[in-house]
Amino acid sequence: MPGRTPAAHTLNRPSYPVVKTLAAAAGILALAMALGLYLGVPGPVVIATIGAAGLGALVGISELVSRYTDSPERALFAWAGLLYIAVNILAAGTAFGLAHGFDLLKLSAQSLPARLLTEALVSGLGAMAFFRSAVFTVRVGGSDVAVGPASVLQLILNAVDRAVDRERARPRAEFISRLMNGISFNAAADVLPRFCFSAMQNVSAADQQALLDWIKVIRSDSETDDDQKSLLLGLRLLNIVGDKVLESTITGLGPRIRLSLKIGLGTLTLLNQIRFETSASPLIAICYALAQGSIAVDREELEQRVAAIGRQHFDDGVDNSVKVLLLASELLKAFGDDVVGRAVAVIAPGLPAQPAPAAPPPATPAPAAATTAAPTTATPLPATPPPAATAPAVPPPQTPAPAAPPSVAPTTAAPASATPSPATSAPATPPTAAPPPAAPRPSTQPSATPSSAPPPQAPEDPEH
Amino acid sequence: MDAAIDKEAAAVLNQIPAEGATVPLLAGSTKMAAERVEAAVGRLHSLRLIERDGPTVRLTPFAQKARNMFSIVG
Repeated sequence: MPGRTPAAHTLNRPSYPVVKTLAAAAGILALAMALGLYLGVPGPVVIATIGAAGLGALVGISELVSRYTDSPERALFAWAGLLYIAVNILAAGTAFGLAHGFDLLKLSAQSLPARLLTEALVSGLGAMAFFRSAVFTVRVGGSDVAVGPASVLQLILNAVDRAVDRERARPRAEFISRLMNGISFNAAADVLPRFCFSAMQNVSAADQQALLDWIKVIRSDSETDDDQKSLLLGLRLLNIVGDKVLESTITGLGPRIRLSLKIGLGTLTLLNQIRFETSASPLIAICYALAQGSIAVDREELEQRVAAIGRQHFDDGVDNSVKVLLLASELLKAFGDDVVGRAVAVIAPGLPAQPAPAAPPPATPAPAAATTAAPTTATPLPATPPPAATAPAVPPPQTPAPAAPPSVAPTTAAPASATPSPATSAPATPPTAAPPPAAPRPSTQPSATPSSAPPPQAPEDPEH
Repeated sequence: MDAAIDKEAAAVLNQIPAEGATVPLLAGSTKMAAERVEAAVGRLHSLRLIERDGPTVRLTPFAQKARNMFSIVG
Protein backbone atom coordinates (compact mmCIF):
# COMPACT_ATOMS: atom_id res chain seq x y z
CA MET A 1 0.00 0.00 0.00
CA PRO A 2 1.38 3.40 -0.87
CA GLY A 3 2.73 5.71 1.69
CA ARG A 4 4.01 3.09 4.05
CA THR A 5 7.56 3.22 5.11
CA PRO A 6 9.29 -0.05 5.90
CA ALA A 7 10.47 1.40 9.16
CA ALA A 8 6.91 1.82 10.25
CA HIS A 9 6.37 -1.89 9.92
CA THR A 10 9.35 -3.43 11.56
CA LEU A 11 9.09 -4.51 15.13
CA ASN A 12 10.95 -2.51 17.73
CA ARG A 13 14.10 -4.42 18.42
CA PRO A 14 16.70 -3.85 21.12
CA SER A 15 19.84 -2.21 19.83
CA TYR A 16 22.39 -4.80 20.91
CA PRO A 17 25.02 -4.85 18.21
CA VAL A 18 27.01 -8.05 17.91
CA VAL A 19 30.25 -6.19 18.58
CA LYS A 20 29.01 -4.94 21.95
CA THR A 21 27.87 -8.41 22.95
CA LEU A 22 31.17 -10.01 21.96
CA ALA A 23 33.09 -7.31 23.79
CA ALA A 24 31.06 -7.92 26.95
CA ALA A 25 31.66 -11.69 26.69
CA ALA A 26 35.38 -11.16 26.20
CA GLY A 27 35.46 -8.86 29.24
CA ILE A 28 33.74 -11.46 31.40
CA LEU A 29 36.17 -14.15 30.24
CA ALA A 30 39.15 -11.95 31.00
CA LEU A 31 37.78 -11.20 34.45
CA ALA A 32 37.22 -14.91 35.14
CA MET A 33 40.75 -15.75 34.06
CA ALA A 34 42.24 -12.98 36.18
CA LEU A 35 40.23 -14.13 39.19
CA GLY A 36 41.30 -17.75 38.67
CA LEU A 37 44.96 -16.84 38.40
CA TYR A 38 44.70 -14.55 41.41
CA LEU A 39 43.30 -17.44 43.44
CA GLY A 40 46.23 -19.57 42.35
CA VAL A 41 44.34 -21.81 39.98
CA PRO A 42 46.53 -22.98 37.12
CA GLY A 43 45.87 -21.29 33.79
CA PRO A 44 44.72 -24.41 31.89
CA VAL A 45 42.19 -25.20 34.61
CA VAL A 46 40.77 -21.68 34.43
CA ILE A 47 40.45 -22.01 30.67
CA ALA A 48 38.74 -25.40 31.03
CA THR A 49 36.34 -23.92 33.58
CA ILE A 50 35.46 -21.14 31.21
CA GLY A 51 34.99 -23.73 28.48
CA ALA A 52 32.59 -25.76 30.60
CA ALA A 53 30.68 -22.61 31.58
CA GLY A 54 30.57 -21.61 27.91
CA LEU A 55 29.02 -24.97 27.07
CA GLY A 56 26.39 -24.35 29.71
CA ALA A 57 25.73 -20.89 28.28
CA LEU A 58 25.34 -22.34 24.79
CA VAL A 59 22.82 -24.90 25.99
CA GLY A 60 20.78 -22.18 27.72
CA ILE A 61 20.97 -19.84 24.74
CA SER A 62 19.93 -22.54 22.29
CA GLU A 63 16.95 -23.39 24.47
CA LEU A 64 15.80 -19.77 24.56
CA VAL A 65 16.38 -19.27 20.85
CA SER A 66 14.30 -22.30 19.95
CA ARG A 67 11.57 -21.16 22.33
CA TYR A 68 11.15 -17.63 20.94
CA THR A 69 11.55 -18.05 17.23
CA ASP A 70 10.16 -14.73 16.02
CA SER A 71 12.60 -12.57 18.01
CA PRO A 72 15.11 -14.64 20.00
CA GLU A 73 17.25 -11.65 20.94
CA ARG A 74 14.38 -10.27 22.99
CA ALA A 75 14.38 -13.39 25.15
CA LEU A 76 18.16 -13.43 25.43
CA PHE A 77 18.38 -9.88 26.69
CA ALA A 78 15.37 -9.88 28.97
CA TRP A 79 16.48 -9.98 32.62
CA ALA A 80 14.86 -13.38 33.09
CA GLY A 81 16.62 -14.68 29.99
CA LEU A 82 19.96 -13.48 31.30
CA LEU A 83 19.21 -15.14 34.64
CA TYR A 84 18.40 -18.38 32.86
CA ILE A 85 21.72 -18.30 31.00
CA ALA A 86 23.56 -17.36 34.22
CA VAL A 87 22.07 -20.37 36.03
CA ASN A 88 23.24 -22.62 33.23
CA ILE A 89 26.73 -21.11 33.35
CA LEU A 90 26.87 -21.46 37.11
CA ALA A 91 25.73 -25.08 36.98
CA ALA A 92 28.27 -26.04 34.35
CA GLY A 93 31.10 -24.20 36.11
CA THR A 94 30.23 -25.76 39.46
CA ALA A 95 30.00 -29.21 37.91
CA PHE A 96 33.45 -28.77 36.41
CA GLY A 97 34.86 -27.60 39.73
CA LEU A 98 33.45 -30.68 41.49
CA ALA A 99 34.53 -33.08 38.75
CA HIS A 100 38.07 -31.69 38.62
CA GLY A 101 38.54 -31.00 42.33
CA PHE A 102 37.36 -34.43 43.50
CA ASP A 103 38.49 -36.25 40.37
CA LEU A 104 35.02 -37.68 40.03
CA LEU A 105 35.82 -39.09 36.60
CA LYS A 106 38.99 -40.86 37.83
CA LEU A 107 41.14 -39.27 35.13
CA SER A 108 44.18 -38.37 37.23
CA ALA A 109 46.29 -40.87 35.32
CA GLN A 110 45.62 -39.05 32.04
CA SER A 111 47.57 -36.12 30.68
CA LEU A 112 46.34 -32.72 31.92
CA PRO A 113 44.95 -31.52 28.58
CA ALA A 114 43.04 -34.79 28.04
CA ARG A 115 41.73 -34.74 31.59
CA LEU A 116 40.60 -31.10 31.45
CA LEU A 117 38.98 -31.50 28.07
CA THR A 118 37.02 -34.56 29.14
CA GLU A 119 35.96 -33.00 32.44
CA ALA A 120 34.90 -29.78 30.72
CA LEU A 121 32.77 -31.62 28.18
CA VAL A 122 31.19 -33.99 30.66
CA SER A 123 30.48 -31.33 33.26
CA GLY A 124 29.30 -28.77 30.71
CA LEU A 125 26.74 -31.13 29.22
CA GLY A 126 26.14 -33.22 32.33
CA ALA A 127 25.12 -30.26 34.44
CA MET A 128 22.42 -29.50 31.90
CA ALA A 129 21.22 -33.09 32.01
CA PHE A 130 21.17 -32.94 35.80
CA PHE A 131 19.20 -29.69 35.85
CA ARG A 132 16.67 -31.09 33.44
CA SER A 133 16.02 -34.24 35.41
CA ALA A 134 13.26 -34.89 37.90
CA VAL A 135 13.12 -37.27 40.83
CA PHE A 136 9.43 -37.84 40.40
CA THR A 137 6.38 -36.28 38.84
CA VAL A 138 3.34 -35.08 40.74
CA ARG A 139 -0.05 -34.49 39.18
CA VAL A 140 -1.35 -31.14 40.40
CA GLY A 141 -4.62 -29.75 39.16
CA GLY A 142 -4.65 -31.94 36.08
CA SER A 143 -1.10 -31.16 35.01
CA ASP A 144 2.17 -33.00 35.62
CA VAL A 145 4.71 -31.21 37.75
CA ALA A 146 8.30 -32.48 37.77
CA VAL A 147 9.85 -32.48 41.21
CA GLY A 148 13.60 -32.20 41.18
CA PRO A 149 16.29 -29.95 39.73
CA ALA A 150 14.21 -29.49 36.58
CA SER A 151 11.59 -27.55 38.51
CA VAL A 152 14.18 -24.86 39.31
CA LEU A 153 14.92 -24.24 35.65
CA GLN A 154 11.24 -24.49 34.81
CA LEU A 155 10.46 -21.69 37.25
CA ILE A 156 13.04 -19.46 35.61
CA LEU A 157 11.78 -20.42 32.16
CA ASN A 158 8.26 -19.45 33.19
CA ALA A 159 9.60 -16.09 34.31
CA VAL A 160 11.31 -15.69 30.93
CA ASP A 161 8.03 -16.54 29.22
CA ARG A 162 6.16 -13.89 31.13
CA ALA A 163 8.86 -11.26 30.73
CA VAL A 164 9.20 -11.82 27.01
CA ASP A 165 5.46 -11.99 26.46
CA ARG A 166 4.90 -8.78 28.34
CA GLU A 167 7.56 -7.02 26.35
CA ARG A 168 6.67 -8.50 22.98
CA ALA A 169 2.88 -8.51 23.06
CA ARG A 170 2.34 -4.83 22.39
CA PRO A 171 4.79 -4.30 19.52
CA ARG A 172 3.64 -7.58 17.97
CA ALA A 173 0.00 -6.52 18.09
CA GLU A 174 0.76 -3.07 16.66
CA PHE A 175 3.01 -4.49 13.97
CA ILE A 176 0.47 -7.06 12.87
CA SER A 177 -2.43 -4.62 12.90
CA ARG A 178 -0.48 -2.29 10.62
CA LEU A 179 0.86 -5.02 8.40
CA MET A 180 -2.37 -6.94 7.94
CA ASN A 181 -4.55 -3.86 7.55
CA GLY A 182 -6.50 -4.24 4.31
CA ILE A 183 -5.36 -7.80 3.67
CA SER A 184 -8.01 -10.18 2.41
CA PHE A 185 -8.01 -13.29 4.59
CA ASN A 186 -9.34 -15.52 1.85
CA ALA A 187 -6.73 -14.40 -0.66
CA ALA A 188 -3.91 -14.41 1.89
CA ALA A 189 -4.80 -17.80 3.37
CA ASP A 190 -4.28 -19.44 0.00
CA VAL A 191 -0.96 -17.99 -0.93
CA LEU A 192 0.74 -16.17 1.96
CA PRO A 193 1.78 -19.20 4.07
CA ARG A 194 3.16 -21.09 1.09
CA PHE A 195 5.02 -18.00 -0.07
CA CYS A 196 6.51 -17.49 3.40
CA PHE A 197 7.49 -21.15 3.74
CA SER A 198 9.13 -21.13 0.35
CA ALA A 199 11.03 -17.99 1.25
CA MET A 200 12.23 -19.54 4.52
CA GLN A 201 13.43 -22.89 3.13
CA ASN A 202 13.84 -24.49 6.53
CA VAL A 203 10.40 -24.45 8.07
CA SER A 204 9.65 -27.97 9.20
CA ALA A 205 6.94 -29.97 7.48
CA ALA A 206 5.19 -30.36 10.81
CA ASP A 207 5.03 -26.59 11.36
CA GLN A 208 3.77 -26.05 7.82
CA GLN A 209 1.09 -28.69 8.16
CA ALA A 210 0.02 -27.39 11.56
CA LEU A 211 -0.53 -23.93 10.11
CA LEU A 212 -2.40 -25.23 7.07
CA ASP A 213 -4.64 -27.29 9.35
CA TRP A 214 -5.29 -24.23 11.49
CA ILE A 215 -6.23 -22.25 8.38
CA LYS A 216 -8.75 -24.92 7.42
CA VAL A 217 -10.35 -24.67 10.83
CA ILE A 218 -10.50 -20.90 11.01
CA ARG A 219 -11.70 -20.58 7.43
CA SER A 220 -14.84 -22.44 8.37
CA ASP A 221 -15.34 -20.35 11.51
CA SER A 222 -18.30 -18.16 10.68
CA GLU A 223 -18.24 -16.23 13.94
CA THR A 224 -14.89 -14.58 13.29
CA ASP A 225 -14.90 -11.87 10.67
CA ASP A 226 -12.34 -11.63 7.91
CA ASP A 227 -10.40 -8.78 9.49
CA GLN A 228 -9.87 -10.74 12.68
CA LYS A 229 -8.92 -13.83 10.71
CA SER A 230 -6.32 -11.82 8.84
CA LEU A 231 -4.81 -10.60 12.11
CA LEU A 232 -4.72 -14.11 13.54
CA LEU A 233 -3.09 -15.43 10.39
CA GLY A 234 -0.49 -12.68 10.62
CA LEU A 235 0.30 -13.55 14.25
CA ARG A 236 0.63 -17.25 13.44
CA LEU A 237 2.98 -16.54 10.57
CA LEU A 238 4.95 -14.06 12.66
CA ASN A 239 5.72 -16.84 15.13
CA ILE A 240 7.11 -19.04 12.39
CA VAL A 241 8.83 -16.76 9.91
CA GLY A 242 9.50 -13.56 11.85
CA ASP A 243 8.64 -9.99 11.03
CA LYS A 244 11.06 -9.29 8.21
CA VAL A 245 10.10 -12.27 6.09
CA LEU A 246 6.41 -11.69 6.73
CA GLU A 247 6.63 -8.03 5.83
CA SER A 248 8.64 -8.58 2.68
CA THR A 249 6.33 -11.39 1.60
CA ILE A 250 3.23 -9.27 2.05
CA THR A 251 4.89 -6.42 0.21
CA GLY A 252 5.86 -8.83 -2.56
CA LEU A 253 2.39 -10.26 -2.94
CA GLY A 254 0.97 -6.74 -2.91
CA PRO A 255 -2.38 -6.32 -4.61
CA ARG A 256 -2.88 -10.06 -4.98
CA ILE A 257 -3.85 -10.31 -1.36
CA ARG A 258 -4.85 -6.75 -0.60
CA LEU A 259 -8.44 -5.54 -0.54
CA SER A 260 -9.21 -2.22 -2.13
CA LEU A 261 -10.06 0.47 0.38
CA LYS A 262 -13.74 0.61 1.26
CA ILE A 263 -15.58 3.89 1.27
CA GLY A 264 -19.21 4.47 2.08
CA LEU A 265 -21.56 6.21 -0.28
CA GLY A 266 -22.27 8.88 2.33
CA THR A 267 -18.59 9.54 2.95
CA LEU A 268 -17.96 9.81 -0.76
CA THR A 269 -20.78 12.29 -1.20
CA LEU A 270 -19.51 14.47 1.61
CA LEU A 271 -15.98 14.37 0.24
CA ASN A 272 -17.37 15.75 -3.00
CA GLN A 273 -18.19 18.96 -1.15
CA ILE A 274 -14.94 19.82 0.51
CA ARG A 275 -11.81 21.59 -0.62
CA PHE A 276 -8.49 19.98 0.05
CA GLU A 277 -6.67 23.14 1.09
CA THR A 278 -9.11 24.11 3.79
CA SER A 279 -10.17 20.66 4.93
CA ALA A 280 -7.06 18.49 5.11
CA SER A 281 -5.73 19.65 8.47
CA PRO A 282 -9.09 19.86 10.25
CA LEU A 283 -10.01 16.43 8.93
CA ILE A 284 -6.88 14.86 10.33
CA ALA A 285 -7.45 16.50 13.69
CA ILE A 286 -11.08 15.42 13.81
CA CYS A 287 -10.23 11.86 12.76
CA TYR A 288 -7.68 11.58 15.57
CA ALA A 289 -10.20 12.97 18.01
CA LEU A 290 -12.90 10.56 16.88
CA ALA A 291 -10.52 7.61 16.96
CA GLN A 292 -9.95 8.31 20.67
CA GLY A 293 -6.34 7.29 20.69
CA SER A 294 -6.90 3.83 19.31
CA ILE A 295 -4.84 4.52 16.21
CA ALA A 296 -1.26 3.38 15.91
CA VAL A 297 -0.50 5.58 12.91
CA ASP A 298 1.95 8.32 13.73
CA ARG A 299 0.20 11.66 13.32
CA GLU A 300 3.27 13.54 12.21
CA GLU A 301 3.95 10.96 9.53
CA LEU A 302 0.36 11.14 8.33
CA GLU A 303 0.47 14.93 8.21
CA GLN A 304 3.65 14.79 6.17
CA ARG A 305 2.06 12.44 3.64
CA VAL A 306 -0.99 14.69 3.40
CA ALA A 307 1.24 17.75 3.01
CA ALA A 308 3.00 15.95 0.16
CA ILE A 309 -0.37 15.47 -1.53
CA GLY A 310 -1.00 19.19 -1.16
CA ARG A 311 2.26 20.00 -2.91
CA GLN A 312 1.24 18.00 -5.97
CA HIS A 313 -0.42 19.79 -8.81
CA PHE A 314 -2.93 18.11 -11.05
CA ASP A 315 -4.82 19.34 -14.03
CA ASP A 316 -6.83 22.39 -13.04
CA GLY A 317 -10.16 20.74 -13.58
CA VAL A 318 -9.43 17.77 -11.38
CA ASP A 319 -6.91 19.13 -8.93
CA ASN A 320 -9.20 19.38 -5.93
CA SER A 321 -11.07 16.13 -6.48
CA VAL A 322 -7.88 14.13 -6.96
CA LYS A 323 -6.31 15.65 -3.88
CA VAL A 324 -9.44 15.07 -1.83
CA LEU A 325 -9.54 11.43 -2.92
CA LEU A 326 -5.86 10.96 -2.12
CA LEU A 327 -6.48 12.55 1.27
CA ALA A 328 -9.41 10.18 1.76
CA SER A 329 -7.19 7.26 0.84
CA GLU A 330 -4.68 8.17 3.55
CA LEU A 331 -7.39 8.70 6.14
CA LEU A 332 -9.27 5.53 5.25
CA LYS A 333 -6.09 3.50 5.61
CA ALA A 334 -5.51 4.92 9.04
CA PHE A 335 -9.01 5.28 10.46
CA GLY A 336 -11.50 3.37 8.35
CA ASP A 337 -14.70 4.58 6.72
CA ASP A 338 -16.71 5.02 9.89
CA VAL A 339 -14.38 7.56 11.47
CA VAL A 340 -13.62 9.33 8.19
CA GLY A 341 -17.31 9.59 7.31
CA ARG A 342 -18.12 11.17 10.67
CA ALA A 343 -15.17 13.52 10.40
CA VAL A 344 -16.15 14.74 6.93
CA ALA A 345 -19.70 15.23 8.11
CA VAL A 346 -18.38 17.69 10.68
CA ILE A 347 -16.60 19.71 8.04
CA ALA A 348 -18.67 19.46 4.90
CA PRO A 349 -21.67 21.54 5.93
CA GLY A 350 -19.40 24.41 6.92
CA LEU A 351 -18.16 24.95 3.41
CA PRO A 352 -20.29 27.44 1.57
CA ALA A 353 -21.46 27.03 -2.00
CA GLN A 354 -19.41 23.97 -2.71
CA PRO A 355 -22.10 22.14 -4.67
CA ALA A 356 -22.87 25.10 -6.86
CA PRO A 357 -20.15 24.68 -9.48
CA ALA A 358 -21.16 21.12 -10.15
CA ALA A 359 -24.72 21.91 -11.09
CA PRO A 360 -24.59 24.14 -14.17
CA PRO A 361 -23.07 21.87 -16.80
CA PRO A 362 -26.03 19.53 -17.25
CA ALA A 363 -28.30 22.47 -17.85
CA THR A 364 -27.98 22.64 -21.60
CA PRO A 365 -28.17 19.00 -22.51
CA ALA A 366 -31.05 18.47 -20.18
CA PRO A 367 -33.92 19.78 -22.27
CA ALA A 368 -32.87 17.92 -25.34
CA ALA A 369 -32.15 14.79 -23.47
CA ALA A 370 -35.18 15.05 -21.33
CA THR A 371 -37.39 14.21 -24.23
CA THR A 372 -35.86 10.82 -24.34
CA ALA A 373 -35.14 10.54 -20.68
CA ALA A 374 -38.62 10.50 -19.38
CA PRO A 375 -39.97 7.92 -21.76
CA THR A 376 -37.23 5.46 -21.10
CA THR A 377 -37.67 5.67 -17.43
CA ALA A 378 -41.38 5.59 -17.76
CA THR A 379 -41.87 2.93 -20.36
CA PRO A 380 -40.29 0.00 -18.67
CA LEU A 381 -42.43 0.63 -15.70
CA PRO A 382 -45.85 0.07 -17.22
CA ALA A 383 -44.85 -3.50 -17.69
CA THR A 384 -44.90 -3.97 -13.97
CA PRO A 385 -48.29 -4.30 -12.28
CA PRO A 386 -48.48 -0.95 -10.49
CA PRO A 387 -47.19 1.25 -13.27
CA ALA A 388 -48.44 4.58 -12.17
CA ALA A 389 -47.01 4.27 -8.73
CA THR A 390 -43.41 3.95 -9.72
CA ALA A 391 -43.31 6.21 -12.71
CA PRO A 392 -44.11 9.50 -11.10
CA ALA A 393 -41.93 8.88 -8.17
CA VAL A 394 -38.73 8.43 -10.09
CA PRO A 395 -38.31 11.42 -12.35
CA PRO A 396 -38.54 14.22 -9.81
CA PRO A 397 -35.10 13.75 -8.31
CA GLN A 398 -33.52 13.85 -11.73
CA THR A 399 -35.33 16.66 -13.39
CA PRO A 400 -34.67 19.40 -10.90
CA ALA A 401 -30.95 19.04 -10.97
CA PRO A 402 -30.23 19.43 -14.64
CA ALA A 403 -33.08 21.68 -15.59
CA ALA A 404 -32.79 24.40 -13.01
CA PRO A 405 -29.14 24.99 -12.52
CA PRO A 406 -28.96 28.04 -10.35
CA SER A 407 -31.94 27.35 -8.20
CA VAL A 408 -31.07 23.72 -7.70
CA ALA A 409 -27.88 24.36 -5.86
CA PRO A 410 -29.46 25.03 -2.51
CA THR A 411 -31.76 22.06 -2.70
CA THR A 412 -29.20 19.63 -3.92
CA ALA A 413 -26.73 20.81 -1.36
CA ALA A 414 -28.90 19.10 1.16
CA PRO A 415 -28.31 15.58 -0.09
CA ALA A 416 -24.80 15.92 1.23
CA SER A 417 -26.19 15.05 4.56
CA ALA A 418 -27.66 12.06 2.86
CA THR A 419 -30.39 11.13 5.24
CA PRO A 420 -32.37 14.24 5.82
CA SER A 421 -32.49 15.32 2.19
CA PRO A 422 -35.93 16.65 1.52
CA ALA A 423 -35.74 16.44 -2.21
CA THR A 424 -34.41 12.94 -2.36
CA SER A 425 -36.18 11.17 0.38
CA ALA A 426 -39.51 12.24 -0.95
CA PRO A 427 -39.14 10.63 -4.33
CA ALA A 428 -37.58 7.53 -2.98
CA THR A 429 -40.30 6.56 -0.60
CA PRO A 430 -43.51 7.24 -2.51
CA PRO A 431 -43.23 4.30 -4.86
CA THR A 432 -44.08 1.89 -2.13
CA ALA A 433 -46.32 4.22 -0.20
CA ALA A 434 -48.46 5.47 -3.05
CA PRO A 435 -49.95 2.64 -5.00
CA PRO A 436 -53.37 4.14 -5.47
CA PRO A 437 -52.65 7.21 -7.57
CA ALA A 438 -54.00 6.32 -10.92
CA ALA A 439 -53.87 9.79 -12.29
CA PRO A 440 -50.30 10.53 -11.67
CA ARG A 441 -47.95 10.41 -14.55
CA PRO A 442 -48.93 13.34 -16.63
CA SER A 443 -50.18 15.44 -13.76
CA THR A 444 -47.63 14.80 -11.04
CA GLN A 445 -44.60 15.39 -13.11
CA PRO A 446 -45.41 18.90 -14.05
CA SER A 447 -46.47 19.71 -10.56
CA ALA A 448 -43.42 18.12 -9.00
CA THR A 449 -41.04 20.09 -11.13
CA PRO A 450 -42.60 23.42 -11.05
CA SER A 451 -41.24 25.58 -13.74
CA SER A 452 -38.63 24.11 -15.92
CA ALA A 453 -38.10 20.62 -17.15
CA PRO A 454 -41.34 18.73 -17.14
CA PRO A 455 -42.98 19.65 -20.43
CA PRO A 456 -40.75 17.74 -22.77
CA GLN A 457 -40.84 14.56 -20.78
CA ALA A 458 -43.92 12.67 -21.66
CA PRO A 459 -43.99 12.12 -25.40
CA GLU A 460 -41.71 9.71 -27.19
CA ASP A 461 -40.54 6.27 -26.46
CA PRO A 462 -37.34 5.75 -28.36
CA GLU A 463 -36.22 2.19 -27.99
CA HIS A 464 -37.16 0.57 -24.73
CA MET B 1 -34.52 2.05 4.97
CA ASP B 2 -31.88 4.54 3.93
CA ALA B 3 -29.16 1.99 4.48
CA ALA B 4 -30.92 -0.42 2.15
CA ILE B 5 -31.29 2.24 -0.52
CA ASP B 6 -27.65 3.20 -0.16
CA LYS B 7 -26.61 -0.42 -0.47
CA GLU B 8 -28.53 -0.76 -3.71
CA ALA B 9 -27.28 2.61 -4.89
CA ALA B 10 -23.69 1.49 -4.29
CA ALA B 11 -24.36 -1.72 -6.20
CA VAL B 12 -25.75 0.27 -9.11
CA LEU B 13 -22.87 2.73 -8.96
CA ASN B 14 -20.38 -0.10 -9.19
CA GLN B 15 -22.10 -1.42 -12.31
CA ILE B 16 -22.11 1.76 -14.35
CA PRO B 17 -19.45 1.44 -17.04
CA ALA B 18 -17.31 4.37 -18.11
CA GLU B 19 -19.34 4.92 -21.26
CA GLY B 20 -22.60 5.04 -19.30
CA ALA B 21 -25.53 2.69 -19.00
CA THR B 22 -29.30 2.63 -19.16
CA VAL B 23 -31.65 1.58 -16.43
CA PRO B 24 -32.60 -1.71 -18.10
CA LEU B 25 -28.94 -2.45 -18.60
CA LEU B 26 -28.24 -1.76 -14.95
CA ALA B 27 -31.22 -3.84 -13.93
CA GLY B 28 -29.70 -6.71 -15.86
CA SER B 29 -26.22 -6.31 -14.47
CA THR B 30 -27.33 -5.82 -10.88
CA LYS B 31 -30.18 -8.36 -11.06
CA MET B 32 -32.45 -5.78 -9.47
CA ALA B 33 -35.95 -4.80 -10.47
CA ALA B 34 -36.16 -1.77 -12.75
CA GLU B 35 -38.00 0.32 -10.20
CA ARG B 36 -35.38 -0.38 -7.57
CA VAL B 37 -32.68 0.58 -10.03
CA GLU B 38 -34.64 3.76 -10.72
CA ALA B 39 -34.73 4.55 -7.03
CA ALA B 40 -31.02 3.87 -6.76
CA VAL B 41 -30.30 6.02 -9.79
CA GLY B 42 -32.40 8.80 -8.30
CA ARG B 43 -30.47 8.53 -5.09
CA LEU B 44 -27.11 8.62 -6.86
CA HIS B 45 -28.22 11.56 -8.93
CA SER B 46 -29.33 13.50 -5.89
CA LEU B 47 -25.97 12.74 -4.30
CA ARG B 48 -24.30 14.12 -7.43
CA LEU B 49 -22.45 10.95 -8.14
CA ILE B 50 -24.04 10.36 -11.52
CA GLU B 51 -25.23 12.52 -14.39
CA ARG B 52 -28.31 11.67 -16.34
CA ASP B 53 -28.53 12.31 -20.04
CA GLY B 54 -31.75 10.97 -21.43
CA PRO B 55 -31.77 7.22 -21.07
CA THR B 56 -28.14 7.16 -20.18
CA VAL B 57 -26.61 7.58 -16.76
CA ARG B 58 -22.93 8.30 -16.36
CA LEU B 59 -20.65 8.61 -13.41
CA THR B 60 -19.54 12.11 -12.55
CA PRO B 61 -15.80 12.60 -12.94
CA PHE B 62 -15.46 12.60 -9.16
CA ALA B 63 -17.36 9.34 -8.78
CA GLN B 64 -15.41 7.82 -11.65
CA LYS B 65 -12.13 8.62 -9.91
CA ALA B 66 -13.44 7.44 -6.58
CA ARG B 67 -14.55 4.15 -8.06
CA ASN B 68 -11.14 3.61 -9.55
CA MET B 69 -9.52 4.17 -6.18
CA PHE B 70 -11.95 2.62 -3.73
CA SER B 71 -14.47 -0.09 -3.29
CA ILE B 72 -17.68 1.85 -2.80
CA VAL B 73 -20.12 0.34 -0.36
CA GLY B 74 -23.59 1.32 0.74
